[in-house]
Amino acid sequence: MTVFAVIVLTAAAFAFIAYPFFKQRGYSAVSTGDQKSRELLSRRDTTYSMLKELEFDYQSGILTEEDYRDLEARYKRKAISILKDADDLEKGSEAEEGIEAEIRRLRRTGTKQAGDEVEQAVAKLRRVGKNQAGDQVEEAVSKLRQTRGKFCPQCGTAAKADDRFCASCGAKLR
Amino acid sequence: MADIGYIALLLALVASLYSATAFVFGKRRNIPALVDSARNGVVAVCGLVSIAVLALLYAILTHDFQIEYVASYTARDMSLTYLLSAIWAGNDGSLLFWAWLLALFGMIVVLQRRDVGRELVPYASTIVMVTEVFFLFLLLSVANPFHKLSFLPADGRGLNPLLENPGMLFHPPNLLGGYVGFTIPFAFAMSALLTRRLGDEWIVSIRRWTLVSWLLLSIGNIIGAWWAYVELGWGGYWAWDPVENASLLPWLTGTAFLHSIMMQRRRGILKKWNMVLVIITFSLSIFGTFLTRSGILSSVHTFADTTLGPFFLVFIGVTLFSSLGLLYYRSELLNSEAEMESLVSRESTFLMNNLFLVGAAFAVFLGEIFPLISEAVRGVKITVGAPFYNQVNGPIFLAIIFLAGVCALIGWRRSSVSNLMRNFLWPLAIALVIGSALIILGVRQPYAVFAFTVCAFVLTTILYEWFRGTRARRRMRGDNYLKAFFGLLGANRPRYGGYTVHIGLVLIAIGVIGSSFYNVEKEATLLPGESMSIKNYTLTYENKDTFQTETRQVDSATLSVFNGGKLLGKIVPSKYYSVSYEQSVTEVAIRSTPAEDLYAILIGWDDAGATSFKILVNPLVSWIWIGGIVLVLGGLIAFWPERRKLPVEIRVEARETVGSVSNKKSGNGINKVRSSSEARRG
Amino acid sequence: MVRKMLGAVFVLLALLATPASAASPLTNVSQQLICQCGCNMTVANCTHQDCMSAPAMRTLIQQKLDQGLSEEQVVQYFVTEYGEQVLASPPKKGLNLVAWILPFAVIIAGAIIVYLALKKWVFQGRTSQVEVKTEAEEDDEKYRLRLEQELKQFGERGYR
Repeated sequence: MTVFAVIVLTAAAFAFIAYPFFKQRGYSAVSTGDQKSRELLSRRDTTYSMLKELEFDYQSGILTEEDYRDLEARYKRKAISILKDADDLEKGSEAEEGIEAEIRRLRRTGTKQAGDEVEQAVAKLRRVGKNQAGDQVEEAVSKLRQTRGKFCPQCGTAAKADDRFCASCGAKLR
Repeated sequence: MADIGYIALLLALVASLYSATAFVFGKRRNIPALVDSARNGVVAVCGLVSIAVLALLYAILTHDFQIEYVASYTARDMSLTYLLSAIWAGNDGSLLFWAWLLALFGMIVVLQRRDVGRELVPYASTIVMVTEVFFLFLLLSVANPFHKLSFLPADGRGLNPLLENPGMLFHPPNLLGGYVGFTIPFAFAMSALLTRRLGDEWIVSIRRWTLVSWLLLSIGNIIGAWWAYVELGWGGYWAWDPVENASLLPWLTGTAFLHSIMMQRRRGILKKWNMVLVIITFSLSIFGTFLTRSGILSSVHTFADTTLGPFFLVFIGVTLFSSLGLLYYRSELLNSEAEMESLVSRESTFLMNNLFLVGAAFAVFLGEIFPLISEAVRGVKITVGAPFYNQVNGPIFLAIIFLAGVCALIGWRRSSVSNLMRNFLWPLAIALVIGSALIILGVRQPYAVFAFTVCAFVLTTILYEWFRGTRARRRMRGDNYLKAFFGLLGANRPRYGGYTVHIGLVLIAIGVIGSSFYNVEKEATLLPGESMSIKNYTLTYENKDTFQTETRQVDSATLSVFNGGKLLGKIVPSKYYSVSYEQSVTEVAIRSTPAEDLYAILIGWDDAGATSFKILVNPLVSWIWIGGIVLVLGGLIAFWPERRKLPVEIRVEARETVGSVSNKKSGNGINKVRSSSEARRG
Repeated sequence: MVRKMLGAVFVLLALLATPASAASPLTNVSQQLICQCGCNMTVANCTHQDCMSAPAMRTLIQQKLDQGLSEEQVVQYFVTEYGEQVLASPPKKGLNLVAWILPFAVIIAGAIIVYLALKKWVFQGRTSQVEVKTEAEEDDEKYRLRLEQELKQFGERGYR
């Protein structure tokens, strides 16, 4: 009885822990979320809370009018600069997305000379690309240069030369 | 069953080792399947340790005395509730309970749906699992609750009769829960250091974990004090016993931490300090478990077992060394981005509060280790007992309470001096009036008068602040006072929950001051029919009863209590001899009113019928318990989650107004860059 | 502010010097001595049923008091008999002063550090206030409106 229970327990625990390896798709795991925008959001909320609190403290008499006006103006300026940063970030990522799409398109069309072509196009894009997006593009480009492999015809993700299937979408590679 | 329990612990050890490593590899190499599997591992550990707990419970409930633990802490005649509490009655069981709570908290961490701090979970879980490994290792080696005896005893030893009190059901699990809980903030802090995500994120993720641990620790300590008061029979509630001190230490640093994370949130200051505090608090929690469980110090709490000591010391040493090392290594990322407007602001009071809380913790710690220092330096053994702690900590605690009042009157960020004067005027005046009234009423000890005045001041400031808040709200929204008041509480729960906690603390302080400065005690030996008087009470000894219950031989004495000729009632202090435990226990009788407690102890009797009593009058003790309830309520208000629609609201609002900052689309844009580059690397 | 705090601490320290008590001489003395049964409690508080030490010590204290010794003399008698460890708290002299003074010294040192840090931060606050950028006025107006609107929507949430 005990032996049986122990075997069942062990098997169940093992199966449960190993299950994610056999699952086809949809890992719940860590999403890489956008840290910068999250941080901005959090800072925005903190500043808003402060503004609210200032108003309330003023209303209930903890702050004098003079202090309140002064602090309010200060935190409003701060909030506005956060809003601006957020907008800049958004513009940046839009531009970036455009670049990404272009790269993917180029990769899909290209076969043998794809590498060079992409390289050229990317170089051009980089010149045009907005400042904020620059770093990301730079990074992507340096990765592209390192691998020099082939690209998936389906989704445009790069693959190593000896890969047989796409690591991203699973399509068969030529 | 016991074997299954042991094997479950063994499997849990393997699983937690696996999880700890799989999280790290999964995260570093970016293998989602591995991270997912590690996460399942945490859940599995919780399940397995739960099975072990159930196995032990089963053994306890079925009186399987073959198992040493069951034989040592339970007996056939115990009631169901005390049988359940036997889980934490002994050393091994309470370590198992610790491990189980930690596994449970770890599981909640990985399963929690969170908007912030998701990135921190893998490494944080690794830290939790490493801690779990340590406790599982202890359980499997030196503190095995499933250890079997070579013979089968007919009955167990049962529960120590001193522990037979409702306190037994609540004091240990709350305290242990508090100790265990502080692992989670620590784990997130370490994860933030490891991943270099040192912004708001980790602080936001752990605020409520810290709060709940703090709350459990508070509840545990208050119940412990109450238990000592009603059961131990010396008329006090806090003896500054080393184990009590050990639970006070993380409470003090944890309280400091709760306040200083607010500073980091609002101001971006104290980043390193918060790290230090969380490391210290976690280490002190382990230290507390260690002191309770190691048996190096003798006290009511200890269970003799000396083999555990070295393991705990090594664990604490490794924790301190590696976490402080990591903090040093990352210290340049933790520079404060501080800007302040004024020296006179609520922020300053928070900093001072941190200073005093940590100072108090330091004083307690120093008292704890000073005998060792003295012996090493002078070669003279000394004792550091209650008088030392009372005299050193008294003023520090009073200063902390004073600050709780001041902070309610000073605005965040800035207060101009003239406004400050205006704010202080009324509370100060009221406090001085109360102080003078006390002197007129006959409270003459300078320290007590001063302390009561401070308490009155703090109470008025907080109530005044509430009143002004309610008034402002009423003015702003046109509600009636009642609605405005509850609206106020609901609108900013952390703030007003905090104030409620402060009120609870002040009530406790009033009780402590009253009962330590104005307690009166008297011993008397009476024959039946004789009377004694203490303060304004007259007690008449009526008769003594001796009777036998199933497990006890009880002697009880009945006293009639008169106040100025008026019969107030009867109190029956007693003494019993526990047959199974072969120990006699005093059962005190307490007549409690808001103003004072009449506390009667039966000391002994002789054959001629002369019976000795010790009678105490402890003023204001019930305020401590009322204050405790208020404190817990306040903690719950602060802890209570805001409405769950919140995150959605933010996102919608964000998309509409701030633009697509948190919008899925733009997020994905960056994601794709990252994932495609990573796919290539792999 | 900080100075006020320090002042308060000193006042409290001064008060410390006079711990008055209304209890009987027996209680006073027995609260200063530690029970020798290993319970770590004062003679006044030990309630261990099998404690052989506390009742005997109490009787002895009463005896000595009846002999006309003052409270201090009785305490002194116990110190010579049992050694310093019979005292519930270390006497305020010699190395023991470290234990009595160090906590307050640490707090005062901490207060100085806090004061300096605050000063630094206030200074930082003043200088950074100037740096807040004020380019593009008409742009600002747009943001200001948006801020007002968002603040209204933000409701009364506190810090999460």
